[in-house]
Amino acid sequence: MRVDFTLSLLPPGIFLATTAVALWQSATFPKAAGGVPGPALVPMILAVVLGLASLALVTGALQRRNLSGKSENLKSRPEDTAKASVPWRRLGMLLAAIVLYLVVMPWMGFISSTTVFIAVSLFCFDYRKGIHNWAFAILAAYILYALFALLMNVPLPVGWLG
Amino acid sequence: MDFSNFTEAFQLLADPMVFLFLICGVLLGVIVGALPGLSATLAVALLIPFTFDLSLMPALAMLIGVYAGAVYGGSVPAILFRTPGTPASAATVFDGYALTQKGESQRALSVAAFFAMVGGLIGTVILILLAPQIANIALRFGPPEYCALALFGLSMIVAVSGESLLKSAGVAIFGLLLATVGMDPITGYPRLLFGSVSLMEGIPFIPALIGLFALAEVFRSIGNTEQIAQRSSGKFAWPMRSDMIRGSWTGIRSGLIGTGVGSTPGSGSDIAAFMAYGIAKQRAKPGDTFGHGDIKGIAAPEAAKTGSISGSMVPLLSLGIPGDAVTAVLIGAFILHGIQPGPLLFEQHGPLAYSILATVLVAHIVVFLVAILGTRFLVRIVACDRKLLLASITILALLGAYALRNNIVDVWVAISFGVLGYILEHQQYPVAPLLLALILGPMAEENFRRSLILSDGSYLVFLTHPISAIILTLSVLSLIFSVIRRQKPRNG
Repeated sequence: MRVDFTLSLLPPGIFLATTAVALWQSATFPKAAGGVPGPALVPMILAVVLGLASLALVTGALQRRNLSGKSENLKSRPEDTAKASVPWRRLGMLLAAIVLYLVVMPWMGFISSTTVFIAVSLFCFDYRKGIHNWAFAILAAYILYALFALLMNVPLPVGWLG
Repeated sequence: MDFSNFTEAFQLLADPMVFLFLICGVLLGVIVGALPGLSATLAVALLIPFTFDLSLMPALAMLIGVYAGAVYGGSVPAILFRTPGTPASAATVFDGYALTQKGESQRALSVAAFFAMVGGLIGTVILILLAPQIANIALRFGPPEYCALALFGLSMIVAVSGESLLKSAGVAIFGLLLATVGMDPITGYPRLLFGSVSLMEGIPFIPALIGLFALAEVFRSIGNTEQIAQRSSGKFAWPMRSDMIRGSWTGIRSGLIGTGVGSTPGSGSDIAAFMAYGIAKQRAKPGDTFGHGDIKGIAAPEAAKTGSISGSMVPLLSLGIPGDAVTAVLIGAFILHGIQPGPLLFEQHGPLAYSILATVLVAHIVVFLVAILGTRFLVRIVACDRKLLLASITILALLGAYALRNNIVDVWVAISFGVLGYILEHQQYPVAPLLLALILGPMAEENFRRSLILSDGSYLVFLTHPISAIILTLSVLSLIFSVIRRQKPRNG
């Protein structure tokens, strides 16, 4: 329940943070001159409206928590169960693999790093067939290289291992 | 309209070489459109050098074929993998992918192909009959009208997305704020860049789109990798008669909307598709299941986006003004081949002008036939192991984001939007308003500021211009109706 409430505050939290940054930055932009609106006008207006909308969303989330807190024998809704079943560990692993892939690709090379990344991502998706994983990863890396680098002339890093 | 011109035009088109190059163009366009990150603009731009040695009609046929093929091709991954190949296909995701999840991807693809053809044919017939009149209306649009049009597109998607208007509006405003990142459209002052030169042109919306739809779906599916069995007739995927009838009115109306939007310079097929989807959803009847695999939800964006292809030819051919990015590239190709689009084109080169229109007409039919013949092969892709598919989508999404500008920052943008999309969807916030705000934001801001400059800072300029006032009124009405629509189930 507490986790659900915290998660429900995440989107308005992101909106509020964006509002704060936009207001802080817009204050440094050149001001309007001679009746002509300056570059700060639109970001300022949008940041204020977004801030108000975020506060309304936070208020709504608080009201829902108070209402559900009062009701006894609270039964979890299907979507709550769905939220509870998020595989955080595998999601974290996949995100870490993506970040690591982007960091090591320039010096490791496209084909080698992509092979390792695909094999690891298959593991994250619970596809664990040993040699199959690696065979698919190698094949996919070469096909992608042919498609993007050779056919469409997209510059891909060669690196140490190719 | 001079029908002798049209007869001559079809004679020009009867050349087998023209037809052959048209088919080649369509096939190439469908493939490029289906690859995330590669747009119709890119497809046409890449092809121009290969048409240098061709004679005029085969070259034009191939370019138009690529354009029409790429616009349809974007819907293939949108329906099969929730990964729109082009921004215009993002609206097809909602109901197309829902049908795939029910095991009916073949049905979704064939319906999409059919209504894409319907929209395209409607648009082309209107183009042939009314090109000068539509161009006249579009010419009356000034900054207040463009600003109002952008806000109308946004209000439509806010009105129909999600269960909560506040959440939907919040996401749209957040998107508009993100759209202000980059150089100020009037003064060129760099805003909210935090030192990143790569964002000078704003947040790139194709990587954002890839993140919001493809990567967010991958993150969402990580806990559910069960295989979805796909029904297949095993024959050519001709759309079912009941589906054609069910979506017919929506398809015709959306084709008209697409043609109108496409003929307005600056408004592309992405805006047309979202607007048509929004209107179709707003006019939903009891029993319609928008967002859950409704045929009308596929018919509307598909017909609108192909209608807008024909619509975008109106300012291109009759005024020499490109309607969107693709036609801007096309106009360059036309000039390279010795054709100067503009008011004199129809007068001085009647048969040639009408042969271009006839090529557009035939291109839509060829796209439909290619799609119908290819659908059963495409469906086999979805029948692959879902875990292998998800890994493939992940790497394709990352590479697609990179390939656009060969810039690693775009990949980070895609990942950030992927995480953002996942969080928003997890909390039942709609993501479509965010994407549309990124697309429409720059157009809205630039024309808002220009309007204020022209009116010496008076905000009344938006109400004193009749067209702008009407469009803004419609925007407000759509939001009011949306509030009433949302309250009905609660009261009922």
